[in-house]
Amino acid sequence: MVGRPLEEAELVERARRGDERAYQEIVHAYQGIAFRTAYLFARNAADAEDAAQEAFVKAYRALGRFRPGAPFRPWLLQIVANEARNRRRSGARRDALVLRAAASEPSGEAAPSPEAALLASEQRQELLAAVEALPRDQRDTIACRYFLDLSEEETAQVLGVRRGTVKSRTARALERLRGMA
Amino acid sequence: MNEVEIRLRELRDELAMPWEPDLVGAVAARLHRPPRRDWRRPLLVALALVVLAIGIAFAVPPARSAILRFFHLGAVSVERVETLPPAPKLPLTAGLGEPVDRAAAERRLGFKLLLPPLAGRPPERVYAPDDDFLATVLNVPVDGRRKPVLLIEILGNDLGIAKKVVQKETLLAPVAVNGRSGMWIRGPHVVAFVTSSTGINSPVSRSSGSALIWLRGNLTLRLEGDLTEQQALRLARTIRG
Repeated sequence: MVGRPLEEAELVERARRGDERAYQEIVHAYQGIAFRTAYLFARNAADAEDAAQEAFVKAYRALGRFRPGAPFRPWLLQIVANEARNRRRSGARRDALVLRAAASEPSGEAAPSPEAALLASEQRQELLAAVEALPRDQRDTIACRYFLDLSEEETAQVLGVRRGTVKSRTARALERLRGMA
Repeated sequence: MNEVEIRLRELRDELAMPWEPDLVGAVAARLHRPPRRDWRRPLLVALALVVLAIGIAFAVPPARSAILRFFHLGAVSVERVETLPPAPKLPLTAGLGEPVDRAAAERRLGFKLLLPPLAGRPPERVYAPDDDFLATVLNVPVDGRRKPVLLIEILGNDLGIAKKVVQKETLLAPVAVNGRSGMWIRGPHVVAFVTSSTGINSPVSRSSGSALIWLRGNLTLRLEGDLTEQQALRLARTIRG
């Protein structure tokens, strides 16, 4: 699991006591991952922004229920994911995941030949298409584990399932991707 | 990590994600506003209750488990059943989370806890398990003795408490508190707090003693403790803003 900054628990406790400045620091720290999570679930930028914002407000009002000392990030992202899923049901246009126009190569490596670059780009497109073609539960699990870099435990909390379910969904999804990509 | 996992991690850095907005200012501005009422919430909570009811129906033998009646008073839902589902005796505050600073919780939720004029000091710590739900335990003077009572106040009519009532052993009596509708529930029943505004829905069911529920403006109030109907009504009528 990704280590949490030491001051997180103190910031959360101060926010629980009504310190809005402390909560603003929390929003600042987590707004990036909250928005990305919302986008991966809602697939619409406007809905993702609204969902992330609403989730921060709801989390603040629900801090009384937050167990002191527990990791804040998965608790927040669970609320974000719920908000985003609710918005996904509306009729707004949904985006498919796409790759950046020119994906950068790892630094320190020699520039690939045009043919190799084209092949790599096609392979990435195929893998992304294969991820998009997964059943919803497997796709959400892959998004949490590999696109958001959440641990199995965090993924389980965000998706509201057991850790064993995350393991089995991940294994099934990877098996499919091995066959499709 | 196998090859597919490595390629998925590489893919993460190459996804075209939208520009990430700065949410700090917008969130800070909304913390002082009353909670946004989400039209989906009553539907979600009602669904949760229906599922709960079905669960109960399947949990005990069908001949003894018919759900006889289902009605609401403000944010409270009451089911009459023939047989109560199993529920432990837990402290009054079970399922309400950790106590928090009262002034901070009132500021966060956007409404103030109504209290009876206590002989002692008003509570500094309260429970705020949801964005429209405040609760506190008070030691109130009742006929010369101090007794602990749980006072819950829920803003709006979204369902926040589900009760199950055994028909033969439990009295359900309509009452009036300062001219507003109320209900006195005497005898064994099971209470569950359903808090779903955040989507984290973990109702805790427990056995409850007698309780008084009544409406006041857009609040639903609930008083639970070792009180008679008259004692509960006397206390309820003194609760002011």
